[in-house]
Amino acid sequence: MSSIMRRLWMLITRSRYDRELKEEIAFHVEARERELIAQGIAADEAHFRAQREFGNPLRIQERSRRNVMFWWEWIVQDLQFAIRLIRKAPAFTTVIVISMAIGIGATTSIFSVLNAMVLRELSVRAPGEMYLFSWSVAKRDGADDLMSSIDGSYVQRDGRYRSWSVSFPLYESLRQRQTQFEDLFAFAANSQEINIGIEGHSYPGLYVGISGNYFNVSGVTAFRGRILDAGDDTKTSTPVAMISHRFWTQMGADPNIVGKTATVNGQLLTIVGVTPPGFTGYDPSVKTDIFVPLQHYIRDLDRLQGPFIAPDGKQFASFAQTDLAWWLTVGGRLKPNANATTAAAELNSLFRQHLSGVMPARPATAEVPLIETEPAGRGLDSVRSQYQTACLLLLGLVGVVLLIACANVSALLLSRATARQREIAQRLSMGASRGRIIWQLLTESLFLSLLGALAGFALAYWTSSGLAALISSTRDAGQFEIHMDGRVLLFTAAVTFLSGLIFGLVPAVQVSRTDPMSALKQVTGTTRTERGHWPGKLLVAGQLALALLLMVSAVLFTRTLRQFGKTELGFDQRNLIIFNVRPGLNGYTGAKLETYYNELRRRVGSIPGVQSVTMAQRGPVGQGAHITTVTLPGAQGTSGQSQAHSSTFGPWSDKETPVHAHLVGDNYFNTLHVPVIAGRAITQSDTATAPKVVVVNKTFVSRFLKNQNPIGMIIRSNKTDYTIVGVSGDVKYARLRDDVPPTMYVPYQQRRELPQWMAFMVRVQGDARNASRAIERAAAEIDAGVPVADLMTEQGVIDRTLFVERTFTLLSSSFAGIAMVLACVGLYGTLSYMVARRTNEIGVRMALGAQRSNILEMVMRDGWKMALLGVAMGVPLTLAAAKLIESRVYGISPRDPLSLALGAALVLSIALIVGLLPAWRASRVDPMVALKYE
Amino acid sequence: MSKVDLLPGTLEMLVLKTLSRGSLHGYGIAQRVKKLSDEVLQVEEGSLYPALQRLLVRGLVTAEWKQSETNRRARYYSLTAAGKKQLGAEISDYERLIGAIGRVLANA
Repeated sequence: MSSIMRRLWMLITRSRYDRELKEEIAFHVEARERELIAQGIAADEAHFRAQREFGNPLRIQERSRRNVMFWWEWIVQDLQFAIRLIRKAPAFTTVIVISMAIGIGATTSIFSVLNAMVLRELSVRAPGEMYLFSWSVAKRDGADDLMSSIDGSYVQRDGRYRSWSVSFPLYESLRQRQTQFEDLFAFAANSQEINIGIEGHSYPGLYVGISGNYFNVSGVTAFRGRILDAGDDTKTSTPVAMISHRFWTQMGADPNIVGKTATVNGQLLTIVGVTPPGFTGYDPSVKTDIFVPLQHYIRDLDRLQGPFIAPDGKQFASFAQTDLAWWLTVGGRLKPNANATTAAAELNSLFRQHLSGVMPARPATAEVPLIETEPAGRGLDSVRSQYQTACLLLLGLVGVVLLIACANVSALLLSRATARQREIAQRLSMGASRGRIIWQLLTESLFLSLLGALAGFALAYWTSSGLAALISSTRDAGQFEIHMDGRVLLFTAAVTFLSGLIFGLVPAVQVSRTDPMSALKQVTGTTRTERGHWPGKLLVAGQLALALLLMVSAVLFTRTLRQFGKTELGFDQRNLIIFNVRPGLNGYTGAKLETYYNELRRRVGSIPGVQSVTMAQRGPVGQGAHITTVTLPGAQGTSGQSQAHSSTFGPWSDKETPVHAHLVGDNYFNTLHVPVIAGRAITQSDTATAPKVVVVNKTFVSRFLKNQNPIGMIIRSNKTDYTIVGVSGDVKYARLRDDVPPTMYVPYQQRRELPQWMAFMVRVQGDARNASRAIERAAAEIDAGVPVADLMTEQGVIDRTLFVERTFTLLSSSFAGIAMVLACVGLYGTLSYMVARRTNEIGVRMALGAQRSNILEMVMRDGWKMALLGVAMGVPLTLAAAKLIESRVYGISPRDPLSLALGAALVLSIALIVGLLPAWRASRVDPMVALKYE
Repeated sequence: MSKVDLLPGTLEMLVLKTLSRGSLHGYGIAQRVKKLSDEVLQVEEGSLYPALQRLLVRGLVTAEWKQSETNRRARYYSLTAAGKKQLGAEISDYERLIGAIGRVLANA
């Protein structure tokens, strides 16, 4: 029989075992007693000595039992005890569980968002083996001579300028010669906007070109039909496509989709499969609708954008041939025994060889971009890091809420633990060790924490789906789904354990210090116990300090949002509808394209309630900007600068200077309510054949043409001269945070080619929804194959760009609210507890002539002291934390004294109000009852 | 006569040794150790009973209830075969240790 079996046997017969142990010990004492009597000692004395010599029988029994017990029996025993106590105090337990549920629930919820956006791995096979290649240069223009365009992001990271795009020939050459990866695959760094037609419906969408082996290397299988493979990606393959699960669902989840034909930008493609749900591609920020083979994608690029023209205007080439267009992101699956650093070294040497082949004349001193292999199991790094800081900041804020909840529960447990001193003292005197008592109390707090976590997890499950919906509603945030996966569970478990430990430790240690003798003798209601309550007061003050931190953050984020709301946009965003059409993608060109635009404009203009219509290649705010370089041949440098000096940074010499350019139709300034300050607006008479004109904005004039009359001045752009005919007010484009750049407005007809797509801006009266439906009908009447995209009110567009700010405002305000409620519960509880302990004292004071107002004041003062201490601790804390939220605040300092004062005033006044109730109750005490109170 | 605390780990060996002459109850074990050591060694009750439980779990001793010499019910412990083997091993380990310490004390 093994020792485990023997232990098990002892477990089964535990009650007999306990009885026998007790009997055995009694026998021992008795035997000793007899012996002492035999030695001639009096019976009483012998009895007493035998007992004293033996020591505490309960303790020895306990220590003996420990040697035959399983470790988990302890926990079971403690838990049984905890459950008994909890059932004795249901209200108390409920308050604790709710506090912890809120703290753990909110933390889990935010973590699940972080998990989904930043931590979760892509749904590809063995994501840890996947790498994407980036290259970087030390100087921003270090590789300018190698390329004339870069797609995808070009960001500054670790002090270098980094991109994830290479040219098609470089991809091919790397793929053929590398040895460290099982295979290389590629996809277009930019997803292109497209018009999709399926079974008579048209949809605006996004598609991306992928190499034939993309799905095979990634280890992704089709949800329906088959994946795209190498056979689909040749110049002679029949055009096929795979659609994303999300788009398939959006279209109504047709079970017979495979084999149907989709019209993409006017080209017919056969749908061969649907991607699995949750597959996002390597850039989860892009909601790709359709995947097409690279060869097809290149044909579209060449047709719609090219053929690619080199800067010297001489080299014409397909995107498949040019080394100057860097538009393809390349990655691979690392071989089992290979190492990413070695692989990068090989790629760099292959890259140098490729460069010297295509650009033999490049000077040896020129910078060669450095290729790095970046783990791609979680997708493109640039996207992830964008959300990482925001998510971490939110997690920090919510962590503060959790800390407050812990402090709150800690204070509650502490107040109860003091009440339990008698019980603890009894157990100590009956032989329990202090360690054993601490363990017991910690088991209780861990159990409470676990109950809170269960409720909190349900809460998180519910709120995080709301958060996901909120975030997914914006196009920029991309697609992601929140799953309560193993990582979230692990996080919650860790948080639960730590919380239980944190809030349980202070009360447990405090209580175990109980001196059994004095605690047993002690009578409740005496004033001397009240003095020792400083840990409870400190916990309340700490909660208020943390609540202040959250309160100030909420105030700062709210004021940031209001700053944006007050931002001078330069146009009137109210009653303005904006939408995009992209007829150029469907093959409209030249006169046909112009007719389409004019016809749509005419039809929209005749919709009832529409006041005016205009078009531009990009709408204001949120649609980006086109940057072009100009010179001002007739202008002089601004006053005070010599010609030689100013030539280094002004357009008035031959130096080309970047400005923002917008292609607009007539009625533009009128419809948007942008004032024309001087000269005239762009009108219908500014046709393709009329003299070329531009309108510039106020910033353009103040930056480049100070003290000169801009009207009649020449702007040279792309070797074409435009005459300035007017000056308009400043309008914000792209981001609200950015200052208005020097901008010029060009009649869209006067560019060499008509824009392939157009944003229409419609000034309406009354309900925008009616007008929106009429707009969609009008467009469908002209050509049902050209869908109306991004139909929104301009206010909606602006709100969308402020999504992150709004989320921060919403969440930080909620956190501050929760924190304040928790802190108030803590303050109220502690004050009530102190009043209850002092009932006797209050009775004495009143009997001795204290007025009710004196008592009221006395208790209020206690509350005030805690609140003031809290604010005193909170202010430096908040100032120290200011640096962390700096990047999220706009228009005000994160150390803004007014916000700080506002937060402090809020905390103090709420604390004051909360303190009133216990104080009032104390002042109502009947001295006769109070004196009898025990 | 001053009393000496037991060396750590030797209590179990002493208990096993006292039981090698026949079964005894807890009080008897304590008495026997005290007597055989000429009252130099003191077995703390606080250590004796936990140690006996340990020996029980490890199967080195067994226990049964019998009538004591004073006609009271008492739990008697006796050595098992495994207990005898363990006792032999512990004694030889102990002798090696003591021998080694003795050599160091004599020669260092």
